[in-house]
Amino acid sequence: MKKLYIRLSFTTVFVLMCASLALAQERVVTGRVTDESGNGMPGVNILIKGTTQGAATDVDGNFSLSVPDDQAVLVVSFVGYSASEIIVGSRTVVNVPMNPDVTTLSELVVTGYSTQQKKDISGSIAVIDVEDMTKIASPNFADQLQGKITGVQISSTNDPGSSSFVRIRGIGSINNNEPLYVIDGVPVQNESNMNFLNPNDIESMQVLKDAASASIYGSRASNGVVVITTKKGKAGQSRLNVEYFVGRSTPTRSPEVANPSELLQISQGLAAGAGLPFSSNFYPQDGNGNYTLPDFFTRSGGFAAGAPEVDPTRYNLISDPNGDASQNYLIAEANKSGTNWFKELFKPATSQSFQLSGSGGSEKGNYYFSGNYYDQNGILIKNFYKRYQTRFNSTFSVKDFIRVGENISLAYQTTQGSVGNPSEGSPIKNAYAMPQVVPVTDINGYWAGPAGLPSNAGNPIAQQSRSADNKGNHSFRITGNVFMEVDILKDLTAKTSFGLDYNTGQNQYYGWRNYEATEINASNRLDLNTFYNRNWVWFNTLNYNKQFGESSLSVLLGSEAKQVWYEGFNAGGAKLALDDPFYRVLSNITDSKTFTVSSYRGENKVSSLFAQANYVHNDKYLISGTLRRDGSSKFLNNKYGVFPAGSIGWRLSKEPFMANSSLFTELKLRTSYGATGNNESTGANSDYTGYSNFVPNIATASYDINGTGTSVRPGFDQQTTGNADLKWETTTLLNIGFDATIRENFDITLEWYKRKTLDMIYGVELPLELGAVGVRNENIGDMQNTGIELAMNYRGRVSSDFTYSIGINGTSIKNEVLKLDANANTFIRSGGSRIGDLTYTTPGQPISQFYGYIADGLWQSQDDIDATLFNNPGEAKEGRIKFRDLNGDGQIDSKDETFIGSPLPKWYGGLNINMNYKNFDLTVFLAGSYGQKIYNFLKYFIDFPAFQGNYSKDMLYEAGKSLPVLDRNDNYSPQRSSIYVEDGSWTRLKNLQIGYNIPASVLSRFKADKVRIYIQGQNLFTITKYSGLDPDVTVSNITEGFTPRRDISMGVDYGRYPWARTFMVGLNIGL
Amino acid sequence: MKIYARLFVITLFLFLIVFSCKDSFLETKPYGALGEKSLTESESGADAILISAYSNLDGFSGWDNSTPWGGAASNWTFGSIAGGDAYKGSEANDQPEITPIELHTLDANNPYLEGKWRNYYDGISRTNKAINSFKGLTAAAISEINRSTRLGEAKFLRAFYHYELFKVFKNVPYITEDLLDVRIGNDKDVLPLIQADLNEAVNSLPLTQPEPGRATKGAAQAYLGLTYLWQKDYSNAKAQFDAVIGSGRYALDDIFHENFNAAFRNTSESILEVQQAVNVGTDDNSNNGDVLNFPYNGGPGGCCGFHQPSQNLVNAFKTDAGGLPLLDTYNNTDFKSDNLVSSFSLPATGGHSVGEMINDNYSPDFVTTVDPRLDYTV
Repeated sequence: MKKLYIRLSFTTVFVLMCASLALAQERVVTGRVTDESGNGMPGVNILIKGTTQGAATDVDGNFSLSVPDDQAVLVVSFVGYSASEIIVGSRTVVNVPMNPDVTTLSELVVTGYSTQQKKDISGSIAVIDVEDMTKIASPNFADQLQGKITGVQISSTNDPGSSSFVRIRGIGSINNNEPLYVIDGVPVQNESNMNFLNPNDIESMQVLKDAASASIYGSRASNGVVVITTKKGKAGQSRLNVEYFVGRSTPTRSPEVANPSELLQISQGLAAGAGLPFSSNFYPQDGNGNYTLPDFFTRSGGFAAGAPEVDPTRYNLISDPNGDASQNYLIAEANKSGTNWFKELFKPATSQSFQLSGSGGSEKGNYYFSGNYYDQNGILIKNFYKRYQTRFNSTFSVKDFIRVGENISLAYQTTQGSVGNPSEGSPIKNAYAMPQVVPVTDINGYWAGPAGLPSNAGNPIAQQSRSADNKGNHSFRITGNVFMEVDILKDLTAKTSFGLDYNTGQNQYYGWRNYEATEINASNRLDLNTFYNRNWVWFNTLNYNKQFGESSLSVLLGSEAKQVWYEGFNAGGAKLALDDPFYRVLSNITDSKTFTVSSYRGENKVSSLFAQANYVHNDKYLISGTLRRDGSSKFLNNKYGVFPAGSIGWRLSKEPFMANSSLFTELKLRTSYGATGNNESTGANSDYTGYSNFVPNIATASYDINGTGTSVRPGFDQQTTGNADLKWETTTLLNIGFDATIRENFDITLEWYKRKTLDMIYGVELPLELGAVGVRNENIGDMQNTGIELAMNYRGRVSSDFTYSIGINGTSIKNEVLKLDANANTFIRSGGSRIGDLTYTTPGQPISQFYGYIADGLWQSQDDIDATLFNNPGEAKEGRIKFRDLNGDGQIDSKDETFIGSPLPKWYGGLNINMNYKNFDLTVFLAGSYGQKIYNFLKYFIDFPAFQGNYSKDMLYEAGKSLPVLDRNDNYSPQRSSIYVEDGSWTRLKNLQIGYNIPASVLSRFKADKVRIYIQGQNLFTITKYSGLDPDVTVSNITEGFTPRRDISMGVDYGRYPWARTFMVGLNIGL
Repeated sequence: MKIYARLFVITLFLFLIVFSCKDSFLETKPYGALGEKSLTESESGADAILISAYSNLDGFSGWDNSTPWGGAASNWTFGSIAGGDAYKGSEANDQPEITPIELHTLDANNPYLEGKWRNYYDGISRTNKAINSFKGLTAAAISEINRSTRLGEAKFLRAFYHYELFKVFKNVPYITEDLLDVRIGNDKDVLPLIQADLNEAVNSLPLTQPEPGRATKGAAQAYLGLTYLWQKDYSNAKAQFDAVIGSGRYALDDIFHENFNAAFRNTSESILEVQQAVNVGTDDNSNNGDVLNFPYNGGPGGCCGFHQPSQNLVNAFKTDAGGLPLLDTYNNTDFKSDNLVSSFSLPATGGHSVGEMINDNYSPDFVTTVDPRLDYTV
């Protein structure tokens, strides 16, 4: 695009004619391009102004080029350096010293369907330093970006290959908040898993944060837009890059839970506290009647070694999947010193990435290709993500005014052993709740379980090992586009682009029989889910660019059509005769009665018209306007929405009164205002919001009207309720900011904005008297985010050998729900749990606040209870948690619940330090998030007796202090209250990298341009007070795709995948 | 000139795209589903809605509901357990929400109430849609006799569902097919409304239906009688019951327990049966409302031992010397011994033989007379 722009800016028909007339006088010019320290610069582009002729420098910075005549102007450009223009004159040798472009003001920024120079931008666009971003090793760019940019909050699950949580400028809606990603013009919408895009293929990436910038994407832009272009080859430079790294991740946290003796003490304490005698089949009594740990145990209890019940000859494990499960007789040896389930479940893991890429081109065309193998192993055993990906991008100049090209990426991805959404049954929760006295395997090597103990936790090692046999979770995704550009007039270019995003794959789930479990699963089961998602987009644009001296005008007109199509097929059944992984096909299901088959299909479409104009007057006054009209098939009566936006900017530094200021090299004030839309909606009917659907649901609508006993007649019942009048959510955003560069080396950008979402779409529950007819999508509420973003970067220079830069950024956002419906007291509860919904969203408060009682320590005396809870003491007892009687009515009830914490950070940001000393470079990157709280729901399982299993050490040693006294019948203390809420602030050293570039003198012997070796540490430390496995919780469920309740149930930790510390070494070779 | 030609072609091209993407491009319709309109244009479509209304008779409207057992057709929670015929059973911390039902201390948050409410209002909603469908069919689409019969069935179902709600909640909103907004008060006695619907059903339903699952005149009369009984209007009740008996359609089964045997369906003793079906690809049609009531762990069904018969139920089988039930005094003393216990070969437990257990704990009661059906009930 840069080339195109240069051409559009400088080309005139006149020059072209001159150039062709002058061909006869061609001669050769040679020279050398050097950097600020006098070293030759390889790969610098040299172009004869007004032509497509050019050359690139070799390894030593030398070039040679035919020029038409003495008037020829050489345009010398290199990323990160100021372009310079040199008149050849009569010289035959032209040496060009290059200076770093410290301000990068002329940098081209892809703003959607067109590009703009950075200095001309008056909206709010964050330009990502891709090279810096990819220093963090991750298969997906979202992980790499955390803490790097203002206004963008990012969190991921640590689970290899899983989705990320990316929120641009706060939580805008109770509905969908996923940003829109546009890759080479192909929108990827409603997608939180970006692993299919290889970050090393990214050439440029910008985040359109305000409405003025994003509104060119209209109805899908209200959550911000991330515009990504992938790499292209450069004329005259053939490059080959090989990149490899290998890293080892180690687990960091191993929570303290009770060992076998402590669990016995807790169990006895719980019985005593409840006034019950302790009795147990599991713990044998010694001669004094004291309970002891058993030597061996079976489903019916624990025994001393030698007891007939644990005679190994009695051991029986049935092999026939259809056999009688009660014939099993499993014996396990008690692990008296305790099995550390965390150590068993989380092990060091090795990950690696290999990338080969090549690029090149001439004035007639260019190409870029890459192949990538990414093998990421989680610290959770048997858990990995693998990606095999290739990309081929090319552009050809067919005529001097026609360019055609394509970008295509093929990614094959496979995952295994993912935890998915943390839940009660996940292996991570079970690592807490599985009693340590249980060994990993029993005496014959089958999995051991807690049957025999009072515990229904599953064996987490068995869970992971079994899920590892599901070698079926894979997908194949093709993304790309073909395009043609025609220069109709010298300033007018037409472009047409057809893009595709095709994703297909299959998930296999194999449910094992688990005879060791307390609640056994007596038969195996196989389920297969196949999906095909196909999105296409076709856009056409006309782009007019005109330069008038210091002023310029660009106008864009365009149209776009898009279809999202998805279908899928699910089938499954139980009782395969063998558990062998190679036996797992549906045809081997023996019990036809257990067959289930289903399929689904759907689509939505968007058609759009858009226009944009940017005018720069005297390089000082910037004005832009955007208008987009979108039609969406999702709505019935309100298909069309219009989204206008405008922005103005003033480059004070170009004014005469500041021109001589030595303080400000650059100073720009800018403001923008505009509207964007959100067309996502919730529920089964999300693509057909206007329709009420009747479905022949066999489970809920069919009936055996003939009285056969073995067949049913299908009936139709209403499953969804349409709202023909549903319309877009509209988000308006007012942005005010300035960009300044002080004394050439200190950049500062400060922005303030107010973002308001109106008519938020929510699936409203209907009166139960209407029957089970689904939710009805309605435009119910308003929400507001106000934020401040500050980014600063200082570039220092100790000597020509020693340079450094320090960047710091911070973001603070205040979120408030303004309205949920006509009733100001309306609330939405979410974050479901064993103790009810944990979060509360209501007008006047930020979204998704924790809600419950305030815990004031423990009840210290019966007198205190009598005096405080004079009306109704309920289950309050001495030693139980003292909930505050907020309204003073002498009893604890739901009226005493209040807001007990917010999962939203007060501010978040990052600190990035880069240093270069001779051939060494150092990167230090810290990210942090402050002021948010976490609802540590795991405490429910390990600090309270609500569930039988293992408990925390605190439960024993803090009983009667910070935790209630032990009492089996205490269901009072674990109610939802502030006792679960913890400070969630964290600071993390995300990256520390030391690199060494082999000197050019050595490299030239091997004909290499660049060889860099580096060592790196990721997540070396995290500073936090949070007691869980990772404070970076943000959302409890980062599922694939969109879950309507995701953003209204934030900050609840149900047992998160822990973070790992990673050490790596890497090698980059450039030829 | 050439440039203008190019410009013209491209502009035309863009306009074509713009106009080819007109409204029809944005018309999409759901796959795999029907709109209400297409179902309400034919008799079979309207009947498909009526079938879905029948399907709520099993009281189980799906796992999506918080607690799907509250509406069970057998009414084991709000009937047997609340009424004293059964104990909750199972373990104390399993389905603890049933305990307040048993103790009559339940509050409005109890999910079993919601389960009951949801299922039966869902049934009413479907019934109303069926009524509107059959009313809206053209004369060409359905014969008047069929229309009248199906409307009778729907009215019967609507009355039945409201009556089920009435039994638990008393005054409930009576939702009819003509209501645009269902948020109406619950300040009225609904029994007269139920009776009005049942009277309509009595008048339009035939004595027999070719499909045994459908409501008949007898079913409507029996239920009408039941509502009168509730009002202690014995003469009207008796008139309805006499009509049922007088129809000659019904007779007691020769063998009492065939009533509860899955092998016998729609026998001469049954006036209306909730039809259950197995092996149809889902468990939801096979009396799933009672799925928790298999014998406690390890027995057939694998779960969970709820709904255990009570002493009260046993006592209710006591009779006087003439074999008639004791209406007021049956519960004064407990009928404890099971005369058949010695006929079972129970394993010895705790070092006692069965004989010793009888000696220790039971004194066989060979005096009190009981209804022999006790043995097939408890």
